[in-house]
Amino acid sequence: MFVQVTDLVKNYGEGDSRTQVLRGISTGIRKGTMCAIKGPSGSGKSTFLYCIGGLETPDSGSIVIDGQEIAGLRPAALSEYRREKLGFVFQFYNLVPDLTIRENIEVCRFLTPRPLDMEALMKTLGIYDHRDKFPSQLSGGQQQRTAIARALVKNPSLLLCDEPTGALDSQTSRGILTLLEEVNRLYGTTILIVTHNNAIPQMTHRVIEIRDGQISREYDNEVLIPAAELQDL
Amino acid sequence: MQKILWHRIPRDLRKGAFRYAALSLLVILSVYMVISLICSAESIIRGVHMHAEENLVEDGQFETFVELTEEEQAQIRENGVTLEAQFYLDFPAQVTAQAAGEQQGEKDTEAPAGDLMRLRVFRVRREADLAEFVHGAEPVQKGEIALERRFAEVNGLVTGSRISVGGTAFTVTGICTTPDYDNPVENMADSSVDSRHFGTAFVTDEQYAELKASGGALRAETFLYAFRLPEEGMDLHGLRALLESFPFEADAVKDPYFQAYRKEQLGDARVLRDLLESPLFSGERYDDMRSRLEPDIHNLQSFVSAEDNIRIGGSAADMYVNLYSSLVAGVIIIALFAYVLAVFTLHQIDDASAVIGALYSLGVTRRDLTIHYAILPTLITAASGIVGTIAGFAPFGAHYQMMDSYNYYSVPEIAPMVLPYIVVYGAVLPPLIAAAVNVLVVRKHLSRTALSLLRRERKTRRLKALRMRRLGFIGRFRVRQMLRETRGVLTVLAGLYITLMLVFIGLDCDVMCRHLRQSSREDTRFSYMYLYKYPEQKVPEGGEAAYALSLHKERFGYDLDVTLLGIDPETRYFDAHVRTDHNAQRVVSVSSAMAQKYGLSVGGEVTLVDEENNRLYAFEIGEIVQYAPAFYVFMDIDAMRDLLGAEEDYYNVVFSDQPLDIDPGRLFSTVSYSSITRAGDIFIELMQSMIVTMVVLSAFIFVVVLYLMLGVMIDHSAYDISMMKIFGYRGGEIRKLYVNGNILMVAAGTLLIIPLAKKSIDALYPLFISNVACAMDLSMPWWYFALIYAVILALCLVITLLMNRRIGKVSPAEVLKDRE
Repeated sequence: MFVQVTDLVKNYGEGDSRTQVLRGISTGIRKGTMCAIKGPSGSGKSTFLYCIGGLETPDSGSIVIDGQEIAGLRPAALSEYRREKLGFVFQFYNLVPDLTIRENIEVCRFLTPRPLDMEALMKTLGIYDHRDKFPSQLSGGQQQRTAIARALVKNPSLLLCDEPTGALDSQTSRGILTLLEEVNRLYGTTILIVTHNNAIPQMTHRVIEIRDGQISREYDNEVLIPAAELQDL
Repeated sequence: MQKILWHRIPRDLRKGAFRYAALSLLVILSVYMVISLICSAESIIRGVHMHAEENLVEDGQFETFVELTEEEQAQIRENGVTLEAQFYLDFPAQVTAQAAGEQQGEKDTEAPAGDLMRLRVFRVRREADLAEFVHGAEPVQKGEIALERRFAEVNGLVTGSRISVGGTAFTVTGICTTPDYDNPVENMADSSVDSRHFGTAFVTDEQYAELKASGGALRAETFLYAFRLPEEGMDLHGLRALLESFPFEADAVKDPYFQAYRKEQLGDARVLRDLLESPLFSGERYDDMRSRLEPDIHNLQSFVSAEDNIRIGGSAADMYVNLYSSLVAGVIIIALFAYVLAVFTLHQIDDASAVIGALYSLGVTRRDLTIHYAILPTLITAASGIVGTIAGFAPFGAHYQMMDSYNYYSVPEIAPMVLPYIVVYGAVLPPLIAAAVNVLVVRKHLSRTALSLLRRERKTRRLKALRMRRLGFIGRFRVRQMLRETRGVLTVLAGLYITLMLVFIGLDCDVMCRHLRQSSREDTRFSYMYLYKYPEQKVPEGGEAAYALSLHKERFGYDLDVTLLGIDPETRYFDAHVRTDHNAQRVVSVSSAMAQKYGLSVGGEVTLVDEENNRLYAFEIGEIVQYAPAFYVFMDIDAMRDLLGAEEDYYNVVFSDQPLDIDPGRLFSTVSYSSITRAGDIFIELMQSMIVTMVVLSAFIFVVVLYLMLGVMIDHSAYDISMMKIFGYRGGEIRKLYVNGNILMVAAGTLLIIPLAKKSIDALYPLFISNVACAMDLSMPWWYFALIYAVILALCLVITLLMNRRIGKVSPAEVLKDRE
């Protein structure tokens, strides 16, 4: 497995206010696949994603990514892990407002000795014409495309997407998801998408449903519906 | 609403405890410094004036060739004038023994070989310029003496010490100050006090008579009278006119040198005058002829009002500079700190942007929030201001600052004065400034819409990307980061400007003193300058004659002495090339000291005032001559004699490179090479603590401001730094992007700020030393600036390293806050 999680536990708070967010999650994701992590608000799906991304430190359990245990790593080692392997896409894009589109992407290009061709990437993602604009001059969809370009430019093996279409209308969402589909196909990137939308899991190879910090159900889709054909986004 | 918001204040305080504590410390330190300087200045100014009034300070003094007659004195007193004869004699002195068990004193008591210790001995005064005793009491019998405070302190003398004056042994009964020697210079022309070698002393009438009879005085007795004018009636001009109207019997002058001088002045006419003295020629007609043959001399030798007397109130005059500069500096520094506090508040507002947006949406007004956010900085400044003010008034505050005056001037013990306006300045003004600055800044920042705040929208500064392409990504990123943090960087640079001004106040003083010392050594080519009271007809062998006339020139309200010096065109002692042609009386050479002080240049005009004779002299400046120790206007001696109507061989100054055999009774004073060069050493000694204090204080302020502001910048960028960490940026890379750019901007700004601060202080410096008659060469060698720059960069480097820890503390999870 490219991602192997075993007995993952994460608590927030202390004493009486202690809340167990992840209650011993164990699962695996194959390399080059797309996986949807689905669940209602407060189910722990984002915390699960951030534990895999090394943004949250689990209280116990194991997370092995591409053969590397990351659960007990120190901050500097986690930083190296994110640098080498990860790309992040957030719900609210989180672009640097003072940087142009090109510069926002360049932020990550410097992190790898073998970045993707930026010009080509921008063209692929349809933001080439806006490269010298600032984020505030772009629509939500264009900003999210920029965020994806930023995550992809360093050619990560694992792309973590936290509600990537949560702030977008259905038409734009469809475009973004189609893009992720293409990225997975073109670059072989393993993609984890956290969502509470019921339609998105129809386009991913694997679906993990989380409820109250536990996996309530997980399955592989035998038939994938292309993103462009998804309804109720 | 305010009541509820009040609950947040202690929480905010706890959250930013370190920052607020550091800034509070700075405010306390600054207010302490400023209040202690203002309080010490006010205490000296008012205290010296108060003590002077209590001790019946004179309104003026005059010297006569012969004692005034009883009738003349009565005539003066009839006009309501209080007159006291304060005749004096100068004696060589030697410390013979310390008081038993006493080890008081600043230095060892033995003067270097060749340096003569001189005491100016007066009779105990009763009607003007009374002595105020710091220790002991006035002498009441023979063998007892009271000494001026500074002379006693510097030479380790206390009550009970033994001292030999003119060969007579004395026991010190008291240490005192007198208002007429507040600035205890030996001669009115001296530029600095030298208490190690000169002081005043007081003995009984009987003892004075004995000393006078002993013949051990260095020169003839000086007939000095101090006077106090009535509130109405007789004024300075009236008294002077009265004194000049008194008949003068030159024959009555006992001083043999005066008589010799008079005879020399008479020259060939003396034979005729002696003939007219015979009984054959009596009657008014012959009296008139006799008086016509007399040189134009009247009994009044000099007349100086208290206002023009540099010895009176010198300590207070020095303090005005401290007072005004401290008042202004205090406001500037407090405004800077208030702004730094405001920047902290803005950072808090940015942090709480969504909450503020929500409160706006719920109907909370901008006024409510503005007041809320301005309260904490105002309270912190108020508390710090009060603590700083109390510290300023404490013994380690004002009293400590007053030590500079105590260690130079001969002032009585003065208690620091707690004046209401100083209390208001220290305790009320800082919070007022803080409140005003914070309300202004915060109000503007809170004037965004509720939606904008809710969305945490950040104002972007759009620099056209195309224009910056050549910079490369890292360069562009840094530029944008710098622009984003412009406010912080400008605050750092403003702080740097203020701290560098403090540095240059100290360093200007340092270089000025060093230049003065160096130039004094290089420019002074004579070993002795003899100032004559009664010049001999023939210039002593080995000497070079000159003609000096003391005039005045005003600068920033201070009338400083300038000497018009007639010199030999072939002089060995100055570089002046005085004109000897028909322009010799019109075109003059000016000493570099004077040119620097008054901003004079070749081709310009210099005007000098002869206050005694109510004349004004205007000259064209032909050249600036390198001479730092004194303010001289040089001209050809013959031209000067002609200009002033003096005899064609008249002189009153002799320069020499070796000691000359001149009777001391003929002289006003002798200025030696060592006394001139010592002036520079004394200045440096006096100013050293101030220089060090200024430099250390400013470095401290700079470090704290830079550290705090870089911290704010990092906190401001915490979200972006967190993003960078998520992308996998390392600490060093993040520092490069977020800190180094700001440091670069500080480094670049410093290149501009250093000369700007130097220029600013150079422009203000003449005001600071407006009452000091010395050269003002403030030029610094390049390595001073290089050193300052290197120190600033080193401090930046240290702070950058410290910032690594802060960057390390920014969690990648910061990004998740928005989502959660």
